Amino acid sequence: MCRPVWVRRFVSRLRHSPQGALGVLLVALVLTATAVGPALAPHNPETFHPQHRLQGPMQGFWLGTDQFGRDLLSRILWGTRPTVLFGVAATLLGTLLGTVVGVLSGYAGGWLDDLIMRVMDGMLAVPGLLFALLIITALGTGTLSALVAVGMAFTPGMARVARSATLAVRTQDYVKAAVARGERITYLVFREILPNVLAAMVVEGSIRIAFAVMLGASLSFLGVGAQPPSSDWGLMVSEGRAYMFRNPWVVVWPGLSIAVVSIAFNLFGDGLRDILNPRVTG
Amino acid sequence: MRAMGIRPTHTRATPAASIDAGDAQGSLLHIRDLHVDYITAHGPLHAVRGVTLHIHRGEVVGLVGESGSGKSTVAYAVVRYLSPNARVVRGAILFEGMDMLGLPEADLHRLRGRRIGMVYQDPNTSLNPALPLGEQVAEMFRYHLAASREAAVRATIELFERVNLPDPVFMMRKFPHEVSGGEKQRVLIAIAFSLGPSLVILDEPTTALDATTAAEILELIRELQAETGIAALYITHDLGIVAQVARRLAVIYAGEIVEEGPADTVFTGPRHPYTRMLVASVPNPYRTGERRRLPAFAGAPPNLHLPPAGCVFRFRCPFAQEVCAVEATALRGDGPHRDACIRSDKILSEPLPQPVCSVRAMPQRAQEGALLEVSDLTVHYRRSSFLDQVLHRPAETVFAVDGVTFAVQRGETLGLVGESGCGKSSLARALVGLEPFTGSVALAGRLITRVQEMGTDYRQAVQIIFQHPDSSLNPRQTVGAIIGRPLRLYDLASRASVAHRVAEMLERVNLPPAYAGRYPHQLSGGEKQRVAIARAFVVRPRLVICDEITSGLDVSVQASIVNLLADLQDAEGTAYLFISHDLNLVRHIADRVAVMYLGRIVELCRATDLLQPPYHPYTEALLSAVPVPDPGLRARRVRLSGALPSAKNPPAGCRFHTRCPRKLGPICEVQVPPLVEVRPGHWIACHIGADTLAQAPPIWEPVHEELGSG
Repeated sequence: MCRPVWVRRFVSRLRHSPQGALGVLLVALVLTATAVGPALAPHNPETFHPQHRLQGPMQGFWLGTDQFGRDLLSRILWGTRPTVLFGVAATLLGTLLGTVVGVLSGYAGGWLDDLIMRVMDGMLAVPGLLFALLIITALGTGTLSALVAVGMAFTPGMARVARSATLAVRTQDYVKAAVARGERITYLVFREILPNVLAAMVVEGSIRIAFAVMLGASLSFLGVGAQPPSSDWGLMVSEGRAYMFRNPWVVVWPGLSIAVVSIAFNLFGDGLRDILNPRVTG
Repeated sequence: MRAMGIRPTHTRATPAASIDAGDAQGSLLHIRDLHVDYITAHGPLHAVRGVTLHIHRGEVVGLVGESGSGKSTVAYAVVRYLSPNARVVRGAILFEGMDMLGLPEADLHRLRGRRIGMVYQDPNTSLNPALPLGEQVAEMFRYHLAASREAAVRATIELFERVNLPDPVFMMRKFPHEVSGGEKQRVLIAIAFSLGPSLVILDEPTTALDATTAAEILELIRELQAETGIAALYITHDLGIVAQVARRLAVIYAGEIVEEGPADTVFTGPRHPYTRMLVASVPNPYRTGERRRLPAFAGAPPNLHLPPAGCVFRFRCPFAQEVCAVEATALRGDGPHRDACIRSDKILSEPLPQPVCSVRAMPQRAQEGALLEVSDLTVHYRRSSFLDQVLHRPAETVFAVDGVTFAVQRGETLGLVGESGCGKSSLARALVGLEPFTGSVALAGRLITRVQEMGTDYRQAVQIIFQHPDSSLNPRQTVGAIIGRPLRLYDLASRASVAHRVAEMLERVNLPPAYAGRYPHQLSGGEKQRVAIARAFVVRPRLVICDEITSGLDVSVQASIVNLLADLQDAEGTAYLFISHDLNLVRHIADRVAVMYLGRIVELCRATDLLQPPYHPYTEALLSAVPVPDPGLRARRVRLSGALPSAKNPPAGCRFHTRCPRKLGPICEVQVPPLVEVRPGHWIACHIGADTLAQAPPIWEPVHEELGSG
């Protein structure tokens, strides 16, 4: 009953936010590529074509080939899935951890809140990439540790957002009413506070997917994330670096892909914020 | 009466002709057939439709309407200060002969402030918080009057003196956050009048203020207007206030003016059914009675996306007939008093339907003994920052409630009245276990001295309803889940029977059972408050604490909420602690009234005791500040000097002594007056003897002589 109104409002607000509309379009494109990309790939991304090494775009290899003669289009299409899924999964992890820490801290208040938030502030002071590298040093290289590293790097920022949203919700009369009728803390947190904090977390998370994608690509580029022969875009840039002057397409296509995905999620997140929070745009 | 036989003839002539006609009769502002739309996601909202209004030089016109009636839109259209999504579709606004809608932006800028003064509702947002008051005011003089720096400072000091601000030179150096809201509004009003405009637009200038402050501001407006002879457009939802300032009234409903005429005749003989009901729904302090129901409106204003054909009020009108849906309405009548009801002549003799049993019977007391006994209850807030702890500085302690003792009887309504900051809400929160307290609370004899001792029994028996309907319902839960939750929590209904109980409860608060599936944002303010009432009543509480529950609602909705509470009380025998800043409302619905000032109860009596003295001097001031919705009644003004002292550092002795107009002397500053029973059931905390207090002249007196020239 509520859904159609919600959808209609969403669509009508989207019309007033052209960047948001572009973001939705791009994200739809990226997600489609994630879902069906490998099926569309003309070649196996790991098959060598020794006679066609470092070619520019040509018939049969629409985006050209790399130093082993692998088809760049196929590698980009196959690489969409690990890159995008990495971004989404790392953000989810960071959002989950941040929400738990932030809501607890905001709800508890007092010295516990002070303690938790000062620790979070300390973590925030370390640049994200450096922080992620620190964690990888502890966990070892690999996609999974890169994912955990990015998720943990995001936790302090997400915790801040969750905490401020919790503080705002906590003063609402419906929470006071629940406290007054003697509700348990689990009900208060999971039924009264959390549902009202989630909207803010979704918006913040959707913007952060872009950063997660970039951070993941950076880690792969540095050789501590995805390992060869993966077609991860960051790894592709890293591997192609040495041949950049013989065939620039080797780094241009994965670089461009990372940029497009980042911009897509950035615009999408901004659009989502405008739609869910019309007061920002006035 | 007024020597004003001539009224502008509302001709549908060409603009040029009507300018001449208007000017010839001293018309200052001429709004003709104004239509304003707001562009929204759901299409255009026709907020103002065909409003025609004149203001003559030196005349004060009141524009009265409820929220969403379009009254502010009309006012802001005059100075073209509408929100970006507003469109003036049709109509003309002529101010001193100038076409305001066609005026270039630069000219408009000069006009605002200089020729048309504006005063807004919230004084806190009208001043720059980063600049001292004196500098801001002097700047306005320099900008608008091109005064020299010295002249501007002199003018500012004069202005501060004029509005009775203590120590004007010192005041000039203060920042806005260092002075009270009332003082800020005094400054803003004085500025609006002193720049020499010919019209001042006042948009609810007293709504954000306390009753006693509002009364002073109103008096200031009256004085300044009388002194300067500047015309004013006074916009308000409060008939009681407008009765005291305006000479002519226009009543606006759903974007159309439904009645217009001289203030006294509109009040004494309202013609349009909407005005009649509006006048009837305001409790008149002079015709008071305890445990009363108020005449209430059914239904809600129409959806202005699709304004109905015919009369806009017909859906709520008790006299509506088929013809009302067909025939277009427009202000009609030959004299100065005109209305838009096509049948007003025929229905004028028909009485308004009165709510069943206006004065209610007293509750039957099955059991004796008080339901809730509060003794020596104290709530204090202590704020100590980390820095304070490091430096071993004493924490700042605020005694919001300071040793309050009272009892609530079974089935009675105890009204608790006080201005903002008096601690009434802190008291309410302490009673439901939201604030730690000292002292004790006893529910039916069971003593509780700490929040932790409030068990399920207590929490079920004592429910609270909050002020803001928007924040008291979780936006992510359906109405059914909201009302059903307490039933599950206290295990009063099985999972299967919750839905049934919720539907039953919704019907009892006059909402359709289908509302159980709705979310709060799909309800109006009044409906949300009904849901909050249902949530409190579904567990059959013995005491319901109503914390300012009607303050955010329109007069017509307020009446229906109050009547609903009365119905529930009659059926269930529930006791109420009804907290409000509105003494006038409280004494109409409460059995007994407690008056609070700075954390202490200063008077406790039956509602009927408030009809005549003795009063505590503070109660006397509150009573005299009640806006009387009747120009035939004059209230004796009791002035309070100064602002409410801070609860951080309350005055010693009697806390009211700093503002008391009847202060005796040093005894008031040193000794705390005890709450003494001056008559059976009537307690006053004052050093002045009851006999002396009883000799105070009455607050209200009918005005016998004809009103002068205003």
